[in-house]
Amino acid sequence: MISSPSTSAELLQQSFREEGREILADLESALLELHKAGGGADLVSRIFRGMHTLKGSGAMFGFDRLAAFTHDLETAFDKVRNGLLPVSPDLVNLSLAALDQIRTMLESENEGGDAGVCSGILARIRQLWGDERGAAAVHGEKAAVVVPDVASGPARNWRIRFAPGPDLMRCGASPLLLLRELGELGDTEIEACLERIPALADIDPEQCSVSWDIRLKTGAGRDAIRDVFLFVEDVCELAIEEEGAAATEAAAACGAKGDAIARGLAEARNAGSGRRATDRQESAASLRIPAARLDQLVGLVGELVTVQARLSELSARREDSEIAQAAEEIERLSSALRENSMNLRMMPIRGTFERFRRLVHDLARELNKPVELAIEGADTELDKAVIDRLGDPLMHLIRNSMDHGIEPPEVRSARGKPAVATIRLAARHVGATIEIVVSDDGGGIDSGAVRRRAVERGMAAADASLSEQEVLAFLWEPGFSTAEAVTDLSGRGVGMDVVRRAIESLRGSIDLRSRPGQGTNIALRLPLTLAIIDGLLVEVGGGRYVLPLAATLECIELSGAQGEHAAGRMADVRGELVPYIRLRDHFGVKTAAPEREQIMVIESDAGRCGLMVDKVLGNCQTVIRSLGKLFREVQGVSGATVLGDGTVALILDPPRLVQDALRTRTRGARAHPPGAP
Amino acid sequence: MSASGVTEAGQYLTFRLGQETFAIEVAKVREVLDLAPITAIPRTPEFMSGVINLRGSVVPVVDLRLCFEMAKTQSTRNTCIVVVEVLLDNESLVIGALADSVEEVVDLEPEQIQPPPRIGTRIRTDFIRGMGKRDTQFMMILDIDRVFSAEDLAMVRSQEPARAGEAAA
Repeated sequence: MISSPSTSAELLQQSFREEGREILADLESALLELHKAGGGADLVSRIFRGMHTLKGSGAMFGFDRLAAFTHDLETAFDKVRNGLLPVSPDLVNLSLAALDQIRTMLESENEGGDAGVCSGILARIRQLWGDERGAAAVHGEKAAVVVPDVASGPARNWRIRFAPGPDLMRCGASPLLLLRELGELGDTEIEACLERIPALADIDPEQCSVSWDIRLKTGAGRDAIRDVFLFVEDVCELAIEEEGAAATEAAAACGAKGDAIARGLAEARNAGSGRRATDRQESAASLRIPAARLDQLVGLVGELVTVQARLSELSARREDSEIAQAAEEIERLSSALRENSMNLRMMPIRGTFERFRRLVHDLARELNKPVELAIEGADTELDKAVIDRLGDPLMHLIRNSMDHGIEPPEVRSARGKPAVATIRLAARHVGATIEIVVSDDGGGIDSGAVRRRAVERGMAAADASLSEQEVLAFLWEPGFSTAEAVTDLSGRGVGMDVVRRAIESLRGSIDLRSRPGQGTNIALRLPLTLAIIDGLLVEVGGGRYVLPLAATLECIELSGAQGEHAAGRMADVRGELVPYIRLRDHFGVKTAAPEREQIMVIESDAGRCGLMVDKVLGNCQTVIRSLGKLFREVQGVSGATVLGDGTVALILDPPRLVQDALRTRTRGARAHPPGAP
Repeated sequence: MSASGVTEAGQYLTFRLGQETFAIEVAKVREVLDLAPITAIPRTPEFMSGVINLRGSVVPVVDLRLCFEMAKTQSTRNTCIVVVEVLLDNESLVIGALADSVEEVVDLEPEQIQPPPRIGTRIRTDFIRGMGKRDTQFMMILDIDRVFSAEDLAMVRSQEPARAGEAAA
């Protein structure tokens, strides 16, 4: 009856890993809050509860080392909960280190994690405890009370009837493990009651039809026994009776100590069942769905939208009012369906933001700069695919702020700033995009140093007149700030080109502003989803292309050879000369050009820039398709989309196009170096 | 002669490029499409004809004639796209191949298949798994994985900067 094929065991372990990750994340944020608040019974019991669940489920799913280590940690936090061990930064840091170990055990195949480190952490926590006990000798007596061995009371006989409900095994629990755990409390005599087993043909192998009568001889109390069944209480019938003696006797025997334990355990149990209750509610209200299945759905909806567009086009041609009506109906439905399915992928950015509390906490300690992370708009929702790829760039930005933006506390107080610096992480919706701001109240960026560095590296002429923005733009150049720049430039810019590339690959943009002495403000603007694009359909040499609308500023018309200058192609946009790329030439189109061509003005790193196309066909909102492995490296094209008539149009990648063209141009310019000294 | 020599009877789809008849294992072929509008991708090698929409997914199309150093495919009523599934770096990839016309599915016994000739063919011998003979007709059995092997398609990537260079000149 006990199902134990390795695959299902692996599945269970997998689901425990998922649960464990969530618990760890919650524990981490609770610990950090505890650190900030310096105490708080709610937080401590939240932590205690989390550890308890982790221990219980860990043992159940075969993560024995994890369970044992968590158990020891839990013991330490029991002292905190009972007010015997005060919350100190050391304790929090040790606990955070312990969580890291637990995470390693959780993620690795064979419960890795360094046993030495683990015992080191525990020893140091015990030391904290020891110090405390030494300092407050008065509490010494109590201290001995709180850590009694589970089976320390006089041995008594218990009768336990354990009748699993039909769903017990579906919850991932194994009766065999439970019975074994019970066996660890003392001597057991186990008798299986088989009368409920149905006829062979009716047996559902996923249901448990056996119940057990157990006689247990143990010194542990009723609660310790109950605790074994903590996680299955809801799905089984459980009766625990003591043979002969009354329970009061036991309580008397254990005295106040027993009470304390009993209270603690009861609390933990309540906490546990509370958690389960909310879990149940949540599982009724929400479902966990593999992301791949969601992607499949979104893909299908995308296809539907394509077919629908074709239908609309056909019906417009037919002039049949009945078909037109049906087509309109389908158009309405499919756009609602698309919106709905896109919403499924939307997630609040909270998880990503909260993760940085730990980073900031650790770095603050390491760098000796007290920093507070202020999070705003954590409930702002965006596509999971975008969220997944935001973590790294944000981490770089925060690290940079901590490392180089924020001054040491002495400098801050000399400048009359609060000693604790603030890094702000904020998200908000702006139209169909999301804006994420990383700002600090640090020293800002020394644009003079950036400029010197740029001149040094030959990126700018020594006498070039550059605006503040143009100077700061150098920061995003690959390899602009390398190790040797650290002293002068305070290293700002390390990894900045990584950030830029990551954001660009998400079709986003970056705006960096810095006020010397007051701080830096970096705003990332990103599309809400990667699955759909709002674009302009344009034609170049008979081919149709989609330009992302977000990148486009305006559209101007140009006729004949106007705009051909010696310095390259320049268009006059209301008095401002804007360089442009003629896509016909860039794509090697050989057919005759139309009389009037149009220029789409886009914003790029190098400032405004134009892309010349034959004509603009109109707006389109389309589903993005990957061009596949074969064309991964094609420059200037970021994907494809299927148009209403069933043909494929390519989606252009304006920043890459401009970069590509600039590279081509510099290559040409290198032959005639500009007025060298 | 070669390890990839054909020893088992099998079914093959035959098609023509110019005057030559080629064959691909039926197991490799997903479907045969009528010629659909192909969207060219700028700045890619000429043998990459572009991409088509295959029921919502975007599938690359290759001009096999250019791969075999024949003249570019001219579209006619008989021109087809043979959609094949190839292994590229151990990943399955769906690619369309242009064919002047698709003929039939034939059964070939091992004795009807001879090792590829070492010389005298216009196309690279390592693209050929064997020569099939049916009545008086010869056909080249393609090693389609090899034809689309990473090395050759890598040209899609390597060719690109070269063209950028041309443009710069």
